[in-house]
Amino acid sequence: MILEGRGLIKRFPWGRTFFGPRRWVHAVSDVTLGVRLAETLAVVGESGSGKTTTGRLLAGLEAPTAGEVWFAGAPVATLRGDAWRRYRLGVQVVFQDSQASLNPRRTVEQVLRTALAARASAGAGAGGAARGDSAAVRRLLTEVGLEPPEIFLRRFPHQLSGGQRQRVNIARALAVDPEVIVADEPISALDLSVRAQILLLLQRVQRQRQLALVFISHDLAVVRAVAHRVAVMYLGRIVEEGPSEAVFRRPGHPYTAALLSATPVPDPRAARARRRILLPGDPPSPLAPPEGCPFHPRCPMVQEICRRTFPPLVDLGGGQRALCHFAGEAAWTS
Amino acid sequence: MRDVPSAARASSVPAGGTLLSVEDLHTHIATPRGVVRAVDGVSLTVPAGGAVGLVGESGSVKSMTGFSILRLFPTRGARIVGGRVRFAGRDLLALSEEEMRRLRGGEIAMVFQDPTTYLNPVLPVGHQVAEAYAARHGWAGAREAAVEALAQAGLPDPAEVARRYPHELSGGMRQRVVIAMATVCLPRLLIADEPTTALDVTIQAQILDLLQRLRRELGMALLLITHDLGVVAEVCETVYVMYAGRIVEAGPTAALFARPAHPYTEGLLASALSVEEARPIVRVLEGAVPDLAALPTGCRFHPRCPSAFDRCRVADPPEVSLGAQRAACWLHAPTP
Repeated sequence: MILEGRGLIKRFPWGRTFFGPRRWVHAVSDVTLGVRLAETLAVVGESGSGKTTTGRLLAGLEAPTAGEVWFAGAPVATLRGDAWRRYRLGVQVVFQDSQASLNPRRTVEQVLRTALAARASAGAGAGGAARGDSAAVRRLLTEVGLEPPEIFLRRFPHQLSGGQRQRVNIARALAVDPEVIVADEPISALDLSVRAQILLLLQRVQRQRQLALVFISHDLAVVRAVAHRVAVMYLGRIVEEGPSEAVFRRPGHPYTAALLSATPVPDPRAARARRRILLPGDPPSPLAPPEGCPFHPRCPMVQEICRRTFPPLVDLGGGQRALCHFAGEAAWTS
Repeated sequence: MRDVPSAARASSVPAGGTLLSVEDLHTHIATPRGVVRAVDGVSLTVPAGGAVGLVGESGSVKSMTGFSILRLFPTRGARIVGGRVRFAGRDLLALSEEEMRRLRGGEIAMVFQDPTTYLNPVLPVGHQVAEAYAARHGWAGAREAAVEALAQAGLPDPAEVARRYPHELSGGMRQRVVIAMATVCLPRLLIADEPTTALDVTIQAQILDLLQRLRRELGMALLLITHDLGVVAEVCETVYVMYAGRIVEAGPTAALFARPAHPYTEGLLASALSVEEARPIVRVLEGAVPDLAALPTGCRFHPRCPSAFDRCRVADPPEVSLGAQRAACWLHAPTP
C-alpha cells in the first residue's frame, strides 16, 4: 500500500460552552483503508457519509483525531525533512470545484510553472523541470488534452470552460510527479458530455503513470467504470469494501444493495425489470449515531440484534468484507 | 381523501389525449451583449396523465422552455416572441396575467431543484401548503387539505410536520413539502425541473417513486426536465432531447434509447454509465455546448458532430420523421 489510513477517527466540535464543545460530529469513525500503486480505489457514499473527510485525512489536509495515515510504509506523523516533502508532493488532490481550486489572477502557465518548481526544489525533478522550462509546461498541457498548448498558456481560469479548468487542475497535480491523486467528486460539477471526457482523462493518466487514484464519488455508475476496488461509506464508517466487480455483482451489505438498486440506469428496458429497494427516511445525524448497527434504522433486513450490537466486519472471501450481522445475505444481485 | 375530479377532467381531456401542446415556441432574452435567441422553435406535447422527459445539458435551454410554458421568468429581459402554448384547450399566451396566475399552482404546478428557495424560512411548512390551497379555494378547509397533501407526499406524521419550519426538515423532506404545495390543488400537469438533482441517490429514489405514485393517484401528467438519462429511462414514456435551444430528437423513451437517430443523442447515451455493467467509456463527445450568443452556422451541433458533412456547416437541418421518432439532422434528410 502506498497510502493507508489505519483506524482513522475524525470528530469536529459542534456548538460551544465555556467548558469546551457541546457535542461532537463523528465525521469519520474507525476507518481503515489503503490504496496501492497502479490502482483506483473508489470511496463512495452519500452526503454526510464521511467520504470527503476521509480523503482530506489521507491527503494530510486534516489531522485525524485518532488513528494514523501511512505513506510508503511509514506513519506520516513521523515523517521529517525530505520524507515529509515526498509525502506532501507525492499525494496530490483534485477537487470538485475547478474554479475555486485555481488562483483567478494567475495564468495556466504560471500555475503549472509554480508546481514544476516545487518539484524541482524538492530535488525530484532532476534539472528538466526547473522553473522556466516551458517545454515541461507544454508536455503537461498535451498530456491532459489541452492542445495545442500555446492557446492555453496565457489564459486565466475564467477564460476556460469547467472541463478545461479541471484539466488544468489535473495537470497541476501531475506536475509534481505524484504517486497518489485524491480526486474528490472531480466530475460532479461538470456537464454530461464533459464528465465522460474528464473521467477518460483520469483513467488514462492513472494507467499511464501507474498512479494510485483515490476516487471519491457519490455516483456508483461512474465508480463501476473506473474503480478496481470500492469502499462504501455510511455515517462515517466503511460498511463494505472489496474488488469492484465483486461488490457490484454481489453486494454483501444491505446498504450497498440499496444504493445500487436506487441508482437509475440509462436503459428503459433494464429500468423496468429492476427490483428497487426503497430505503425509508434519511441517514441519521452524525451528531447522534444510532445504537447498534449505524444502518439499522433504515435497513430492510433489520433484526433484533442489529438494534443492540455493533456488527462485525465479516470476510466474504476474495478481499470483500462487509460490516453487517447478516453480511452476504442481502437478496439482491445485479 | 380529497375528491379527485377525474370524471370532470376526463370530459375535457381524455387520458392519453393532448393536455399540453407547445408549437414553435420562441423566447428571447435581452442581455447587455444583445438579444439571445434562447428557446428557438421548440415544439412538444404532453398527453393527459403522461410522463414526458425534456433532457439536455446545461445551456440546452431546457429550464427556460419550462419557464416559458408557465410564462414565469427568473431573469429580466426574457420574452416570448412567437409560437403557441395550448393547455387543455386554452391558449396560454393569450391569457391575462391574472388568469395565468390562477392557472399556476392550480392546474399547472411546478417543482424546482432547490426546495429551500421556494419555502419561506419563517413560516411553518403546513401554513405554506395551506396558503397554496387557499390561493384558489379560500381558507376554509385549507388546513385539512394541507395535512392531507403532506400525507400524500409521503411525510410521516403530517400533522406534526405541518408545524415545523423548513430548517427543521431534511432536504428530502423539504422536497416532499414543495411537492405537497404543488399538488395540494390537484394539478393536471406538474412541471418538475431537476427535482432530484440536489438529493442523495436513496432520497432521489424516494422522490421519483412519489412522483410516479402521485401521477397514478391524481391522474396528473408530468413534464420532467433533467440532465439525467437514468432518471428519464426510469420515469418517462416519451423523451425530448434539447441542444442549444432546439429539440434535436424526440420519441418514445424505449425506442430512442435503443436506436438514437441524432448523433448528439447517440453521443450522450454512449457516455452514460450504468451500475448494471462495467462498461468502459468507449466514445465521448468532444467539446461543450456552445454559447447561445455565439452559435455556429448551420446545425448547432456540427462542430462536435462526428458525422458532420458540408451541408451541416451551412444550413439548419430539417426535422425528419422516422416512425415514432423524429430528429433534426441532415443525416436523415432525403437528398435533394
